[in-house]
Amino acid sequence: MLEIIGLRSGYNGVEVVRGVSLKLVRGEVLFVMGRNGAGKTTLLKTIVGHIHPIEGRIIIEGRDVTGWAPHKIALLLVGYVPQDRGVFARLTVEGNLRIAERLNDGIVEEAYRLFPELEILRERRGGELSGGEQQILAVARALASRPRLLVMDEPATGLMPPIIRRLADAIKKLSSQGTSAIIVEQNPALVFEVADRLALMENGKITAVIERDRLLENQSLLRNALGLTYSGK
Amino acid sequence: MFPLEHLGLALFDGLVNGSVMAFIALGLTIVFGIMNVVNLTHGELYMLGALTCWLLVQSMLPYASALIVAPLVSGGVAVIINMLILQRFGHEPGQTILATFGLLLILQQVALAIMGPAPRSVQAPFNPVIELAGFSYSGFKLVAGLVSISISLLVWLVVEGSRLGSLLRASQENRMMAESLGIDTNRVFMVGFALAGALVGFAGALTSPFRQIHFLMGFDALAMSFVVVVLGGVGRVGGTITAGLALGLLESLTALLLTPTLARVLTVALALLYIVARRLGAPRGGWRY
Repeated sequence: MLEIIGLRSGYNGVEVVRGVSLKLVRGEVLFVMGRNGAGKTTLLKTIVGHIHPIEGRIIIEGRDVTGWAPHKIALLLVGYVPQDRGVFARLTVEGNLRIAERLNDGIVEEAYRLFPELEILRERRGGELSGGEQQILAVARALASRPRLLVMDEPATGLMPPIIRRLADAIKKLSSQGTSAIIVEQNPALVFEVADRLALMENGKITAVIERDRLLENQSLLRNALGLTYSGK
Repeated sequence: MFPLEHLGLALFDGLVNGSVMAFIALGLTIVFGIMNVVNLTHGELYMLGALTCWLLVQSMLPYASALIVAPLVSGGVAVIINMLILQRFGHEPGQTILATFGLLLILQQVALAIMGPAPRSVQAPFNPVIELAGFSYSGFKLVAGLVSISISLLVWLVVEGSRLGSLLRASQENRMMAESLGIDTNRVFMVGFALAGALVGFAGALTSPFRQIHFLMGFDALAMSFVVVVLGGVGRVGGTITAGLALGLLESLTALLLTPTLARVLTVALALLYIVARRLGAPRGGWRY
């Protein structure tokens, strides 16, 4: 589904991602974790085409998309939630969903089904929503586009625990239908609930990859690296 | 004091001129108001529409042909300017202003080379005198006003109510996010430029029979368009139409007491005063529309 080979990228000649290689199979959910400045957001932005790589290749569904325009990558059904949510302030909630109709005709209905609280806000402009409401909208738009690859940057930020639980359920359902996901997230509830694998990132490099069945026994590694602990459901 | 029929004529002429003024500013509302691109060639695209009309009529082609060809010429030039120059700057404001100012001068010189320095005119294809309540009025100008307001309202409906309006707004506000939703923002901007150029080119041809055509006519159109767009609220097509009508009426009524030049100066001064007062009186974070 997604293969990253020797990826190097950054901003204005400054290398932030320094030789990352990763492979995701169909339906697999990979979380990328690391401290601030590790290069997680830059990695995701490079995958969706917002940053051109300095070196390396990105292959999505067997196609080498390295250097492609972001809209062409999106049309391969790559759903993206950026760190700043990417909600259009001047469009209504419904307008923010309809704008993505090219990815999925039934995106509005699907988004309201996943997050019914959005339907009440349908006429409200994006700029008038609270941070949490904007986050729900951004996440709903990506999930409802029924992507083949989901790329999310801290999707749980600002969300209440019951909504994080629904987000986890939605990701698991999509994953069971074949959607792969690469998610940058620090929220332990979401990570431990959904992750198939977890990659630790440091100074632009992947330093460890932990399989799901080894997550709990690697808690000391996660705690030392990220201050992350999980007390169960 | 002036006779009552002069007041009636001023009101009527103000509405017609205001409709035309709003129509000319419509393209700038799309490019500057919605897409946030400061395109200083807007007035020259209007001049190109008028120049095309004059050239076609000079070549013995019917005036109606200009209403088809002029939008194609101005729209085509707008697309070329966007593709070859502005798109490469990413529509960054500083470089866009500099580039479009240079293009404005080039287009003026091209027009000067083609039509010379003397003002030109085009004969109206029909011009019955219409008798109204105590005054008579040019039938062609009345039709031009009606066409202007009709197209303006249609564009308002399209921009506010259609997917195109949302695409233009989204592409301007967060280009990368729009791209990540599968939108080819370069194509959206190209459509925006083509539409804006075609509209103002059409306006140039439409107004040719009652306005002088000369190579500097774009300056006035550009300046008044900016005043209309800002007065109506940047990015609001309905506001542009209202502001155009208000300015047309104001200018026409003040012209009853002053010379046309002084009336224009007073109208623009009052518009600017209103814009400043509105700004000073706005709540923190601006008005909610």
